[in-house]
Amino acid sequence: MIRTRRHLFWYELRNVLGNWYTLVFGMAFPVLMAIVISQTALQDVPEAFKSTAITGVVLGFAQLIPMAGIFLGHSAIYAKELEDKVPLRMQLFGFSQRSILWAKLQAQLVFQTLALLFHFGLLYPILGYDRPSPAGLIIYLLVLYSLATIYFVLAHGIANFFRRFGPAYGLSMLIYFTFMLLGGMMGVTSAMLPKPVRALADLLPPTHLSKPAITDLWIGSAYNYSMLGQAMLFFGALSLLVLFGSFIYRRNRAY
Amino acid sequence: MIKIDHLQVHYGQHLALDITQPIAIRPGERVGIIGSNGAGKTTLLNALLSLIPSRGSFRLGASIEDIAVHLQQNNYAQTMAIRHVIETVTGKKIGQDQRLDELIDYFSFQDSLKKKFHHLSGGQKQRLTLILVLFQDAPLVFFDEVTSGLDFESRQGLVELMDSWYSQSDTTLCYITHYYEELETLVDKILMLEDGRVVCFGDKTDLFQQYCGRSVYTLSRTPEHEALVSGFAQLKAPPHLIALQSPDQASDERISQTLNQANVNYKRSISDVEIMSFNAKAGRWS
Repeated sequence: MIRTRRHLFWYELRNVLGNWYTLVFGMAFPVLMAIVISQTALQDVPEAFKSTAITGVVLGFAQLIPMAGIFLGHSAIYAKELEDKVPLRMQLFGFSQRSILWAKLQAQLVFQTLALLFHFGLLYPILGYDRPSPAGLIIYLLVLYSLATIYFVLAHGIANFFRRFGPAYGLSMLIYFTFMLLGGMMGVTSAMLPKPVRALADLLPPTHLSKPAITDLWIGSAYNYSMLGQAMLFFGALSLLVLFGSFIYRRNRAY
Repeated sequence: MIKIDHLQVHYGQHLALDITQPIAIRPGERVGIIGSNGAGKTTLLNALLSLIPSRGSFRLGASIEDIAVHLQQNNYAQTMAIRHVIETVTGKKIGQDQRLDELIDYFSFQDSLKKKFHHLSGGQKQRLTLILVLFQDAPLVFFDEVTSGLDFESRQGLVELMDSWYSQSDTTLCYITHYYEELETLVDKILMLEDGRVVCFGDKTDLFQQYCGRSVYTLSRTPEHEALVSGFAQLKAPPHLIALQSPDQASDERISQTLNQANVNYKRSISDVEIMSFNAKAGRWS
């Protein structure tokens, strides 16, 4: 039977875009939140700093695209698929586990691209955030796509470990809200957190992506990459550990 | 095509499958795999497909990619219309591939293409997987309880379609089922399992003759019928039936004459898999 990776890619893209949760929380919600927060919480910000503050909000909520769309979305969809044995069914039709995984990642990254275009395209005429420098844009996107891949790895590991929708989704939601809280997206900035919790928050990329300093990276001003880089490496290694741990856990168990 | 020397599957401490005798299924053979619930039929399939850990020695004459499998439960993505699932699995566009279009017509599936998987009926779901499995045109095909959960008419229809589809092919079929009547036309060999062990394996006709004789007469079990046939040799049968054994033509004539004279409803069979399986099981454990 002749099948191409193209077929599988389109299948997985339909799978992602056919999931209302991904569209609502990964695409519409970040835009909505950015508009609401900019119109309410930034009322008292002096005019001279307003544009920078809005840019920080827009960038901060853009990171919800990989967090809600890819991390929560993939964890939920894939855990449900595993529960229903859809990947097994596809493997018995001759699709390798690797090709399925690759197509899913590609589809998620394409979704992220569409969601980012929607996010920045829609918010620019509405909120008027600062334009990025070419280098700032490239680095910001590089960070966001790397983070998306890390979220995908973590979500895949969680889903593969449980192979049931309920616990996989529950844990992913817990992680999601923890990241939101520690990352300062729920009204508590990381500076307000107790010292040990702040240390933990600093190990996570969302904290650095929602700090006001992220606007420096965006517009090409001086930005200290060490903390963000460190957090990306730590979170990436942790996610890989979860993924490989899930493979080992599942190795000798029935499908 | 399939050669099993010995095969064991454990679920924890429980020995779920324990095949100790060699079993060889040659290319083109059609084997019905039967047994009651928990007999080890699906466990055998899962072990052969390496979906569960097993011990022993077996060989499949085709790589996993060249094997088509219809599982008991076949689920697909629910986020898109079924036509996209079909096009992904087959790698063909519906409406642009004659063989795929023929299969869709053959199973009257045209109206279901726009639906999502969870909106299909039980019969439509089974037909969807059948279309995908048959399109694979694999040299070795496993069917696990294809018709379970379907009403009598849908079951009959599906089996007839499958029988006709495979009538001109040299595909090796392994057909797991609870419904013995499906095996009468579809398979030529029987592998019977019970408590994870092999009860019997062989040509369907040979097994029938070995355990039942030349032919079998079945009639409903009532006190009147029991009195009527008390002089004839009886075989093991389900509780609601009386099964009379006919070892030769003379017995055949005596039994049919007695039943005809009493004007009793009965069925004569030379391939009743259900009665054969009852007696094979009784012989195995006696």
